[in-house]
Amino acid sequence: MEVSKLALSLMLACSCSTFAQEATNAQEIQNQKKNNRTETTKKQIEVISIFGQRNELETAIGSAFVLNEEQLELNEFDDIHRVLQSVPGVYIREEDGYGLRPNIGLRGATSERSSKIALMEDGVLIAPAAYAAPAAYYFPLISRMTQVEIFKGPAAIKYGPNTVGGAINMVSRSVVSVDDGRQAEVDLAYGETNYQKAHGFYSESYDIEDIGELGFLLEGITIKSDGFKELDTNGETSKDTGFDKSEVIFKANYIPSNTEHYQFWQFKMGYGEEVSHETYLGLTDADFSQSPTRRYVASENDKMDWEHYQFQLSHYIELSGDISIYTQAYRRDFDRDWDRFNSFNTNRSMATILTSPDTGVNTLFMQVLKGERDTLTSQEHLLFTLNDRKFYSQGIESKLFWDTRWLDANLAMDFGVRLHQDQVARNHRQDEYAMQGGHLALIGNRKIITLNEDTATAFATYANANLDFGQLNLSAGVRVEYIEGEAINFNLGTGIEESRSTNDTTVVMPGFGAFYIITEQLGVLFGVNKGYVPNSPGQDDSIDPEESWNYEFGLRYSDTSTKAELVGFYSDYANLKGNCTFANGCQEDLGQEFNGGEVEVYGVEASLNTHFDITDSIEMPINIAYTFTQSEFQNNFHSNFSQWGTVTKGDELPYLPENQLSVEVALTHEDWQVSLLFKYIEEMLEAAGTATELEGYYTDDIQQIDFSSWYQINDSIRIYGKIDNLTDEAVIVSRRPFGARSGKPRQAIVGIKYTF
Amino acid sequence: MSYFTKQAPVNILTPILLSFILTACGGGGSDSPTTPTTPTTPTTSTDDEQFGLWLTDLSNNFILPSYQDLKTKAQALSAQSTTFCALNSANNSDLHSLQQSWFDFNASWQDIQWLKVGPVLESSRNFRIEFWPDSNNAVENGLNNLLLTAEPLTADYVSSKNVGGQGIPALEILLFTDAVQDSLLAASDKEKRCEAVQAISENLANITNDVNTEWQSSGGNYVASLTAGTGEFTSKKDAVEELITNWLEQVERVKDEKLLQPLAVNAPGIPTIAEFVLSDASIASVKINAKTFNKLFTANNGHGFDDILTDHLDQPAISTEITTKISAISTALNALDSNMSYAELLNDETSRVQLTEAIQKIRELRDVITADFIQATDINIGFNSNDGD
Repeated sequence: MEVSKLALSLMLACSCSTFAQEATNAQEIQNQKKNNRTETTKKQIEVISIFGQRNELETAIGSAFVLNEEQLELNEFDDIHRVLQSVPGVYIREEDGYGLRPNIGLRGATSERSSKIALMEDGVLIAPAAYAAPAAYYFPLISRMTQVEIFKGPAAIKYGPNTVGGAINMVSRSVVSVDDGRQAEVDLAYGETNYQKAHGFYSESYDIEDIGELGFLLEGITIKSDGFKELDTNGETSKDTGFDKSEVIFKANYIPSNTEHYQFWQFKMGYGEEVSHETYLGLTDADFSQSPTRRYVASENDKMDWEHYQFQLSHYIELSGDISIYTQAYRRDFDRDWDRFNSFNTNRSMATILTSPDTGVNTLFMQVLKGERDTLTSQEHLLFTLNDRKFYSQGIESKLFWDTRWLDANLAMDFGVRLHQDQVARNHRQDEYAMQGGHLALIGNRKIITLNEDTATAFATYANANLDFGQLNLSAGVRVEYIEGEAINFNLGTGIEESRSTNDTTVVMPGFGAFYIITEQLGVLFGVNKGYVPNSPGQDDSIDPEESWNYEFGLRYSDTSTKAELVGFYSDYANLKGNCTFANGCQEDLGQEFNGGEVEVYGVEASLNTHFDITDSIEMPINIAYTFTQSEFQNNFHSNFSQWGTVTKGDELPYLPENQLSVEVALTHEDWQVSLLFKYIEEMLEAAGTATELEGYYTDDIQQIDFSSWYQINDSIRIYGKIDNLTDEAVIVSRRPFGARSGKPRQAIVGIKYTF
Repeated sequence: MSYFTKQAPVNILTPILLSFILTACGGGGSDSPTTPTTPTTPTTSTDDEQFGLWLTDLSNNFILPSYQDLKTKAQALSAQSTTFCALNSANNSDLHSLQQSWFDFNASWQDIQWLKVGPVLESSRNFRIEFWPDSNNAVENGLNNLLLTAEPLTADYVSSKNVGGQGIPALEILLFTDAVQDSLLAASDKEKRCEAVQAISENLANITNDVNTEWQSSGGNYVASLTAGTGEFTSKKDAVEELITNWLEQVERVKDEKLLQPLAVNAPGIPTIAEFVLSDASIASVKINAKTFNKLFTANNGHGFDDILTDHLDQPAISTEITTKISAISTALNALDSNMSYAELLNDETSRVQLTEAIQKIRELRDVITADFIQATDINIGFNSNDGD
């Protein structure tokens, strides 16, 4: 039988301990040690990544995409939105221009704060509270990641809890093996808007006789910018609108020697912090057309400040050549405080004021907002909220991998069990400000406006079987989750518990997929899985969880120079949910979820990766990604959810572009590379139905080009330069939370990397 | 090495895999389709025409007559002020007459207080007519500045000064003060005070005259842009949405600022933050406000939303519900003991229950407008509800 690439990699990945036992002489022992070490890094990646040797892209069941380190380094993107723009089936709604709090959706799953997808770093959920409050207010610096994996379709059931759209896993840098000696790198960059990046890591491993292999990694990164938005100065020096974001990661590996079973331990800890002068306040359309990067002075005090701690202990053990277990215990703490202008002291919404700035009293509010007139009445007081939220997320997850033979086929089975708990504690306060002399002046009147605590505890299991008959690859799995939620509301005056509600649910999420090899290069894939997004704690009984059946069918072509994929998808929602957040402009009933009923989302994703040889030493890689999406509500209904309103059957979902395209063309040489990445996103509806704010509004078409290049001076030094948004495209990417906002304008950055 | 040769126990694996596949093909939890609340189904007739009719009748039957009346009452107040101040030895009866003119003018203002589009917003006219709530003591400060100045007080002079000292609240202090030393009849500076009364009254007459003129078709003809949905409005629907938002804002204002906040949690409440503490015109004003809700809804017996809901949108139940709830507010307010001052009502348990009932009725009206009414009419109000408590 011809041994498949998958089998070969599996053999490489999993056979080391058996091989060690059979070694009889010193050379073999040395070889064995070397092999072990070589595989150590692979195993680290294997168990934390969706795609390891067990699941190659070419034969993967389900639509999949992997951005490796080389691709990530080419563009040197710090913004996950830009990283993902070349991936079909990914929808982005920009907000701050830097992707600090990304809005990512997959296959129709709402992009709002990326709360409907499974976001992971090294296989661990990274949303501050993935069950209780999944909005991605924390997001790691993508610059320290070495791989980004996007998986849509049945494989999503292995990750959960959100399985409607899919999963995104980011793989952080691994500890080097002893054979690699040590790895160290310093990366410094500077750019427009006083952009500064300092990134460095050092990793080394030691082989200590009779103890084993010890290795560590220390990595730090800091990125800052003064921001591209310009606050109204009104006679004073302009304030910073940028951000300063840093992370430090430490990893320690231990691979004990002389143990019966091959195993390794890894401890990972990390600290991150961000101070960003970000605001929810945008512009009127008229002001945007005059100066898209303007910021009204009412937002001059806005600031997000967060700290994030992560601790992980991982253990991998091969019980036999066929069976291995990987266990991760994790704890993450996230404390954020977003102090920002929220509204005027009136029932009139900011969206109304900003979309009809010349109508009635809106004119008066606009004058105050811009600092053109002092606050006159109490209604013109500016309410400034201090939204303090503390999160934790902790759990332990264990996965058992069993590789065997069954029915003349290679059978790879995964079993996983996870006990997880997360919590969000909200303490939102409010101060009143007046506009005086063109700037904010504190009035006071502080009061608490939200004081609650939502906790979710989930026990999740999954089992997945992958059956490889050679030409036919089948996968079937099921995920079962038991989720218990508790919502506590505290009295705003006394802080004493006022109400407590609990709910629990059990959900079964099956998935099935197949990949059939038609020719050596061409295969066909099919998948179906149940999508599910659980309710947050404290929801009304009338709110149903989000449920869907997701189908995909496609072709995949792969040869030595070209990879292509054409996948049709169809998501049949029994209920699609909306969630009231400040981020989507919702001001009432924060955290409340809304039923959207039956919805159909369908479309086509296409990708092509190929290259041409221009000369003997120069290649031209071309990467194209295209997504066509249609969506339709299947019921007439009215919702208080600000993005829906009065919906008629056939209405589209908001923030889903019908067409989006990404084309990347590069010239690559051993010592240099230049690349142009073109992105097109068609206008998107900002609200689905009528009788709601932003009814009939669309974002602008986005046509943007990013340029990137690098030159390898010698083995140690590489310089790079890039220009994001080469043509300085200034369009409205969204009118949420309040008002029109632009993406990042043209920004040139140069940098140097020194490896030693 | 025999990595792939180990045989699995088929008798265990078979049912597991079969169950996976079977479940994948249709098993799992309940996923019966969720059907959200079904909205009303509007007819296909032109909403735009209906909205136009309402705007026209609201303007002709309510807004224009109200501004005309406001102007008339302001002129009467101004004239009465002049008469009063011309008296060599005014007495209580004379003062009562002047106070009555103030009551009449305030009543007229309360009738149109809700409207916040057009000329009344120019040059802060609405705040100059009535600056309330007044968290910074702007009225008292503004008035004191007027009384302290050596400049002769004229309407023009007043109109150039702090908005707090220009309108109804400033006049209330002058006309209704309890302090003898500040009384128009006995104050040592009563001439200056009278000068202020005249200047402020004339200022109000000027403001209301300007507002009225700018609304009239013979003047600024703002009525034309409102009824046609042009000018600052993008359409008739946009104009309707703005006026309905005005209505809701007034509903919330009456509920929260005029009733709920003075009521506070316990007796004696906070009567000092009422709209009219000295004249005790607060409840009377609220009663007028409540009546305007019906005028607004029905276009003052013209082609109102009661007609649109019933005849055009086939939603008579919603129309009836709104009419009933507006009526219930007035009923609740009328149940209050008219012989008791607002301060006394706030300190009386029975009355507090009645006030709470009135607040609840207003809240119910707010709820039906922001839900059923908005859905039926398919308008966007851009309004955040709150309970103020």
